[in-house]
Amino acid sequence: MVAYGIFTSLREQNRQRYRGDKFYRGTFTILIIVLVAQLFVVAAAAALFVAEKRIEPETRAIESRRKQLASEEERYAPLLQKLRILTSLRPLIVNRTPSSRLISNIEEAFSANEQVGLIELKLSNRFDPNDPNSKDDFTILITGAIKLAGGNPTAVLTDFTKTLEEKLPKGANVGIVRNAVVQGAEAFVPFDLRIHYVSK
Amino acid sequence: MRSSLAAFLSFLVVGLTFVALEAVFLAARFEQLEARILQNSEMTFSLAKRETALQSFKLNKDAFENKATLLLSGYTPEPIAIGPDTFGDLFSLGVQISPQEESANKGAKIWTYKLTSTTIEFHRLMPAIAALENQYPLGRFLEIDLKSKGPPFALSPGPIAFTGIFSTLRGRQ
Repeated sequence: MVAYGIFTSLREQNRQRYRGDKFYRGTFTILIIVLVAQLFVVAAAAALFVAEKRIEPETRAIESRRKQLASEEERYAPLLQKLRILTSLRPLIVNRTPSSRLISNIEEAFSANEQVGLIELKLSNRFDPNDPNSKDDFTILITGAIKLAGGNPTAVLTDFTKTLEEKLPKGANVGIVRNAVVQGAEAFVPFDLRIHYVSK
Repeated sequence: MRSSLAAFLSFLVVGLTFVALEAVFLAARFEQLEARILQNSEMTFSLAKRETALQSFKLNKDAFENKATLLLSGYTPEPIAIGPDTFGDLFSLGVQISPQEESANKGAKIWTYKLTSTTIEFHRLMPAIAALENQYPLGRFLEIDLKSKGPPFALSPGPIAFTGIFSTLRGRQ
């Protein structure tokens, strides 16, 4: 290195000041650090680029698999739609109590009590179609008759009511609306019963 | 201020900003890559599950189709056409069946049909009613009125007066 002495010009002395000035040295160090950092940045960027390129085929394969699967699922869309409707209507199917089952239970109770006969059966179901969780709410009014020859009609009706409760599904409520009371010389004593049942 | 100090400070600020921006950019790209890898693995897992489900669905497709058709029978946007296929034995036995006027209301959620008969015996009518309920799992009798036309305890079965209101859920368009 050539030393610059006091015999050089002022301009040259200013130009060469970086050799002794600590801030110029610091500036140079910063420059070096930034340049070295660029090497690391480039290395990291290259590694990222390689990694991105490496997963690109996998991403493309997944996307194509997804599209293929979606188009295949689309083929079964009408059936899937039906199944979705069924799922939403499931409680209405599962919770349904057929009226014929209740009438069959009532028929069994009549068959078990020979002294009791059916005159009229009125069934109504307060089912709410607007409520997807609505349950069947049955009210059944029975008008029947009891043979007088069979003993005390009130006792016969009580027995029949018990039989009805046994035959009907659990939770059915049987009430006597009009008791079987002998009035005059009729061969049959009429009675009215009310059954209330809400499906489980 | 000395020019050397000014140069030092300028380089320091610019150099730090430059390196920091590069670091932020690289970190963002790295996070993006990580998210992509995670998304790929999640997609692979979910696609595998969907493919398995689709395979098993394909195997049972016919059974599902049959069950769905059976369970949703009567669930139509239009009222059921009245005939032997739709009302079975009740139609064949001569029960009068008519769609109710209220069902024409577009807001109605159900189709209702009035059924009346005065010529069928109880023991023939009840199996037909049960068959109708079995045919339409979403169908319900809202009303049934059975009245004996003869005196109680008749020795031979006679026809009864039957009135019923049967409903089916109205299907969406």
